[in-house]
Amino acid sequence: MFRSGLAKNLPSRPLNLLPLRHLHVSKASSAKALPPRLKIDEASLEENFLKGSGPGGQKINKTSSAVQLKHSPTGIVVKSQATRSRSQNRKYARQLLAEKLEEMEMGDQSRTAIKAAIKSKKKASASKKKRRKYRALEAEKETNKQAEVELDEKLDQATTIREENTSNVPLPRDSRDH
Amino acid sequence: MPRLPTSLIRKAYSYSPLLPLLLKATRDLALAKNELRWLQEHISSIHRLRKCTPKQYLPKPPTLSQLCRIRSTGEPLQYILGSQPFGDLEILCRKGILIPRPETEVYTTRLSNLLLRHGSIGNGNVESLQILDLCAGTGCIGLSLYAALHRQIPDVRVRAIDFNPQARNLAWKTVKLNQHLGRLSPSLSKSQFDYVLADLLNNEEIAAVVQSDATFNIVVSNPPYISIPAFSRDTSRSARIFEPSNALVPPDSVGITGERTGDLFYDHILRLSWRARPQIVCMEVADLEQALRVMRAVKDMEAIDGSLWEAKQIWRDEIDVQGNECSTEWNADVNAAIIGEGSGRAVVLARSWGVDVIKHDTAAFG
Ligand SMILES: C[S@@+](CC[C@H](N)C(=O)[O-])C[C@H]1O[C@@H](n2cnc3c(N)ncnc32)[C@H](O)[C@@H]1O
Repeated sequence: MFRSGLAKNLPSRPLNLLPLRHLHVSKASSAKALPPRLKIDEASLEENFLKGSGPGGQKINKTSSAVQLKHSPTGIVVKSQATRSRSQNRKYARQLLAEKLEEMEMGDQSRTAIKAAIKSKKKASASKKKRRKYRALEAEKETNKQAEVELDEKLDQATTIREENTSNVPLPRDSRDH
Repeated sequence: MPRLPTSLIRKAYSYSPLLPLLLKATRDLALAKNELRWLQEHISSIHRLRKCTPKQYLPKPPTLSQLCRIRSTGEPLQYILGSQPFGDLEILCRKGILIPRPETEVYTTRLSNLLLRHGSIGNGNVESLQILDLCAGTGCIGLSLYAALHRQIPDVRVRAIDFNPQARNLAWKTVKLNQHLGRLSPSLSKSQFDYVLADLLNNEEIAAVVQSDATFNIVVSNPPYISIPAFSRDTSRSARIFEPSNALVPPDSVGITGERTGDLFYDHILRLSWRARPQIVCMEVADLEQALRVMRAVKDMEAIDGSLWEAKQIWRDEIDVQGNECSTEWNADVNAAIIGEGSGRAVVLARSWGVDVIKHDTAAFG
C-alpha cells in the first residue's frame, strides 16, 4: 500500500516521468540506439529543498517535497515535485536537468530529441487533430529550451502525450478500477 | 485567509471537477493536482491489495470524490494516505500523532550526511553510536538517522522518548513496514531502537529512563515549540484542528507569558544534554528569534556550569543537505554561526569530534 510501485501499475494517468520514461524506453524497439544518459557532476549542482517555502515547521503541515536544482555553470534551474518523496524528487530533478543539458549540448542528437522523433513517427497514423496538438507541444518544448523548467509543466506535457497514446483516458474523476 | 480567486477555482474545475476541493486545502493549483494524483494512486493501491486479499477482511475502498471531500475540510493528506516519506523511510501517520515536517527532514538529512562525511565514520572506523531522540513522536528523526548511519556504523543505537503510548506503537509499526520494504535492517530490534515512555518535563521519570551515567553521542529533539500567541496567530488551521496540540504547544507554566511560552522544553533538553555529554545536540526551533533565545539560555548555563560547547550553529531552512558550504554569518552576541537562508530552524551545539562534523563545510572542506 505504501510502495510507490509506479512503474509497474500505470493507473489511468501517468504518475510522473520515471514510469513514462521506462515505458517508452522499454517499449521502443530502438531503445538501444539512444545515446547514454548524461552524467552531471554533483559538485556543479546547487540543491535546494525549501526554497521560498515560507513559514513552516510545526506551524504548517505541508505536503510538498519539492526539490530545486541549479546547474551553476549554465544557470539552468529545474524543479521537481512529482512525488511525495524527497529522495524520488531528487532523482527526477537530476533526470530533468540531464535532459535539459543534453538538449542544449547535442540538439537533435539528444535522447529526448531522438525519442521525440520515434514518437512522432509512431504518431504519423494518428488523427490530424492529435498531430496538431503534438506539434504545438514540441514547439512549446522548443521555446522552453533555455528557460527555467518546472517539472509540473513537463508533467502536463507528458500527460498529454500519454493520453494520446492511450486512447484519451479521461481526467481522474474516479478511479478507473471501479 | 483571503478567498481563492474565482478564476483559479474555474481553472481547477476545468482540469477535474474534484480539483477545487483539493485547492481549498492546498491553496496552490500545482500542489492540488499532485494531491489528486496521490489520492488516486492510493485508491488504486487499495484496489490492488483487495485483489490478493479475501474481500471480507478489507473495508470497502473509498472513492476519489469521498477522499477529496475529506481533504477539503483541512484533514491532513498524510492522515488520509496513512504515511509520509521521510528520508529513505516511509513513516506511518495516524490521527493523534504529529505528522513529520519537510523542514525536519531537511536538517535531519544534513545531519546524517555531515556525520557520514566525517573522516572516521566515512572510513568505517567508528564502531558504535548512541542517539537520544527526545519527543520522538513517529520516531522519524531517530529512525532515519539509524537508516542512514547503520550502513557505515555497525552498532547504532537509538533511544527514543515520548510520553504518548500511541506514538510508540505507531513507531514500531513503522519499523515493521520499513523492514518489509527493505529500507530498515531486519535485525533492528528493541536493543537498537529503544522507545521508552516518559514525561520529559518530569525529572523523576526522566531520571528513570536516562540513567545519570548514560552517555549519548547525539541528542536530537523536535519538542513542542509553538508559543500560545503564535498558535492562534500563525499556525495553519489544518495543524491547529487536526493535529494534537500537546505535540505543538508546551503546557502552561506559571510566570511565563508571550513568545517565551514556546521555549519551555529547551531548558530540560539542555540540562539532560549536560549530563549525557553528547558530541552533538540538534534541536528544532520555530524561528530565528527562538533560536537566539535558546542560544542565550545556553550562554547563561555556561556562565554557571562552565563551558561545554566548542561550536554553536543555527541552521536555517534553506541549507545544503549534503553538508557543503552555504552562506554563513556570525552572531557575536551568542557566538554562533548562522547558516543558510530562510527561517531559523535548528540549534546545533557541538563538542569534541562533533565540532569536526558540523564544521566540515566551513573549516575542513572550506
Ligand atoms: C513536535 S512533535 C515531534 C515529533 C517527531 N519528533 C517529529 O519530528 O515529527 C513533539 C512530540 O513531543 C511529545 N511530547 C509533548 N510533550 C511531551 C512531554 N512532556 N514529554 C515527552 N514527550 C512529549 C508529543 O507527544 C509529540 O510526539
